Amino acid sequence: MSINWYLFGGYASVWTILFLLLLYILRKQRQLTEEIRRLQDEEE
Amino acid sequence: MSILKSLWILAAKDLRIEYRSREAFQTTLFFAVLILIIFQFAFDPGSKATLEASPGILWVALLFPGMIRLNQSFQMEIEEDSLHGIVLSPVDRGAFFLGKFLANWVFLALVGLASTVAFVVFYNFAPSARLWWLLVVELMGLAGFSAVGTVLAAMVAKSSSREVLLPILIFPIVIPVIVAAVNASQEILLRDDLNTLGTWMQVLGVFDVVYLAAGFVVFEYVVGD
Amino acid sequence: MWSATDKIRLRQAERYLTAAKVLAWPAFLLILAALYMAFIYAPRERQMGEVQRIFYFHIGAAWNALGVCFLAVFIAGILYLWKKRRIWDHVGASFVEIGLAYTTINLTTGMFWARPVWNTWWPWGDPRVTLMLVLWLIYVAYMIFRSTMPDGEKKYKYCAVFGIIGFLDVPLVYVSIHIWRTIHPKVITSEGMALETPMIMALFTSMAAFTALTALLFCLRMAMRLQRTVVLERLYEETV
Repeated sequence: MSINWYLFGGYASVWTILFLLLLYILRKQRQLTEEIRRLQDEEE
Repeated sequence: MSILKSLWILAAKDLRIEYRSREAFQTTLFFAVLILIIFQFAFDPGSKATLEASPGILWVALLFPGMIRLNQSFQMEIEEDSLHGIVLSPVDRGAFFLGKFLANWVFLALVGLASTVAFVVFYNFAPSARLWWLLVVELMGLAGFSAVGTVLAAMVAKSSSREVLLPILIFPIVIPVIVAAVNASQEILLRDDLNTLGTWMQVLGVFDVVYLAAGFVVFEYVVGD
Repeated sequence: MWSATDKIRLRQAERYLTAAKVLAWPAFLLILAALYMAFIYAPRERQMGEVQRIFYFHIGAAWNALGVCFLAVFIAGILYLWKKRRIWDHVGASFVEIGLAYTTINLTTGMFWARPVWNTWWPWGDPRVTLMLVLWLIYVAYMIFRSTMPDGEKKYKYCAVFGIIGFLDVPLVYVSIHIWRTIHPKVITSEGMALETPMIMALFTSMAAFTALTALLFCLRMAMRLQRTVVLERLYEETV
């Protein structure tokens, strides 16, 4: 079975874009959670 | 004060300022003519390919200098802080929008008229009665452009990066105007019959109405407070 | 201690995070199901061949970009101008980002589909392709504009206005390109195809899968925006 490179390219682009978006969101989310925890600790 | 009266006063004020200095008109027109000439050098001067592309070139020459003009239209209000005065006066915000729009439109139409004369000369078109249709299309296209541009220029007026922000915001929105106006101009200038001119003018008309109405409603949130 | 409004914001953020966690599994399973439907369940399209299997996710992305995200930006813009509640700015800003991601997916998958089928990467005369491209430009402009404005009521108002103006352009762009295409029939166009029932089922599954993903991403972004406001205000207080 030969690979259809156009189909491959299409789906590769879907996952790349979604992966980058998710990576960006999760990284920011972790930074924010840490920042909030730090602020909370300071106050206690 | 009725909306019509205040919009007229506001537009007349802007146009009077322009008439007295005339500097903005001259520089905008000079830029437009410059674009017409530069495109001749960018392509093969006087060749058939340049002629085919000429309606598009005309619209670049109308819209790029027009955008610079739109950027300036709120600048003088801010520099002399007269925007505050207008906002505090009991003028309807919609009327303020229409007044600004009218001033911008008239200004751009006059520049357009003058650059169309230059266009006919540099691109070697016969002075036929069809050119009147071209002027109508220009008026309609520039109306939509000014309607969108007046709202967006007010939004970026106080930003330090307004020179680059305004074109970034305005050109994606006016793509329907560019498509319709260039195609209509192409038919007027280069084709034998005017089959689709009416359709394109409908598109321009709808665009004008939609964005004039949107600007009228939304302007209240753009200036003021 | 946190102020009362901070506490409310943080509690709201927690709620969005919980919703995101609840949505994570259904979204994941639906995407797996959509992949199964697109690659195995749906039959091979006769004329276009295997490459047509891009279609399902391509349309799923288009639907979410235009029918969910950008429509939501439009409505959130109106609601912000009307109610003046900060939350509607959060909603609009979150949906712009997600919609932009879907538009990008739609455009790139479209490219890979158009090249083998219509022998061009970019069918300029097609109103749908051009509409998505123009939407991409409009909302990238939105993001650039947003990033240049300092936080404050002005920013939220202007972004709401731009979200409204931008969405009004959708029918105008579509109609103008459509007329253009009918006048210049030489331009390569992507005509529709006959869809068999399993294909339609696969299409709906991928649309549902992406919609679930949209909801998930939206909840995550909302939680982040709420938390960010709290953190920024606190850091601002510390420096004063």
